[in-house]
Amino acid sequence: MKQPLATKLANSVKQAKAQQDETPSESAVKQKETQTTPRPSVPETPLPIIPSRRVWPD
Amino acid sequence: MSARVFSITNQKGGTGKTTLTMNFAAGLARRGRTLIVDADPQRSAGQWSSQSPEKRPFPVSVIALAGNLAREINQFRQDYQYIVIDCPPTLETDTLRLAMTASDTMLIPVLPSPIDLWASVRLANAVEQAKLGNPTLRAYLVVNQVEPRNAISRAMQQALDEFDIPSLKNNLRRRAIYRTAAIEGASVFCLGKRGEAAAQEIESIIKEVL
Repeated sequence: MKQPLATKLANSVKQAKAQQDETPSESAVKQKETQTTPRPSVPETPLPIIPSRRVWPD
Repeated sequence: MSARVFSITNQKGGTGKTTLTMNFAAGLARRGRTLIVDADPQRSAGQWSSQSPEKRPFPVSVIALAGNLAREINQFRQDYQYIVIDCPPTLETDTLRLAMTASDTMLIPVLPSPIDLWASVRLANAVEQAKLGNPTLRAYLVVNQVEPRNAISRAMQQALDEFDIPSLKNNLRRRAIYRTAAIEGASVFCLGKRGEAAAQEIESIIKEVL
C-alpha cells in the first residue's frame, strides 16, 4: 500500500536520525584513533608473488 | 539592561537565515534597541543593509564579528535590548558553537524539503550538545518558504514532530517581497502595503518567541 507523503517524510527523518546515531562523533573517532595501536604499514607476512602470465603467444 | 540574544542558524545554506535575521531584527527594533551581528563570512547581512538609500537607512545597525563571538557580544549586551546573530552555514568552525553559547534563543529556518530536514538532524544534535554548556538555551525550527498548496509543505508537520527541537506554530510563506526587501536594503516593515502580509508573519514569529 502506498504511504501518505507525510508519513514517508517523517520516516525519512527517523532514518536520518538513526544514521546520525550510528555515526560516531568526530571526537569519538579521534579518541579511538589515539587509543588503538597503529597498524604497521608494511604487512607482517610478505605478499605472495604472482608470476606474470603471457596472454599472447609469441 | 542585558540584551536578549537570538541566533539564526542552520548548517545548510539557502534556508533563509539572513532573510529571517534582517526582518526579525527590524521587527524587534520596533520594541527596543537592536543590533545585528553578522557572523557569516559571506557578509550577506552587511550587504543587505548597505543596499538601503541614505534617506531611509536600515533600521538596525549591522556589525561584522569574528573570533570569540561570545566574548565580543558581551561588550554590547548592556547597550542593546536585543541582539540577533546571523550565523554561518557550517558546523565545522567554532563560530556556531560560540553563538550557541552566547544565545538565549536559537531560530533554525528549514525549507519544506526532505534534504533540508535531513541536514537539520545533525544541527539538532549540536543543539543538544550546546545545551550542556548553556542549559537555558531555547531552540526552535521555523519553516520558511511555505507554499500552502504544495504537498510537501502540507506534509511538514508530521516530519517536524520527529525532531527533539520544537517547531514554531507560525511560519514564513514563500513571498517575492522578501527578495525585494533585500534589493531595496529594507525590511518588510518598511514596504507599506507590499510588505504587509510578510510583516504580519514576522510579527507573529516575534510574538511567539518573546
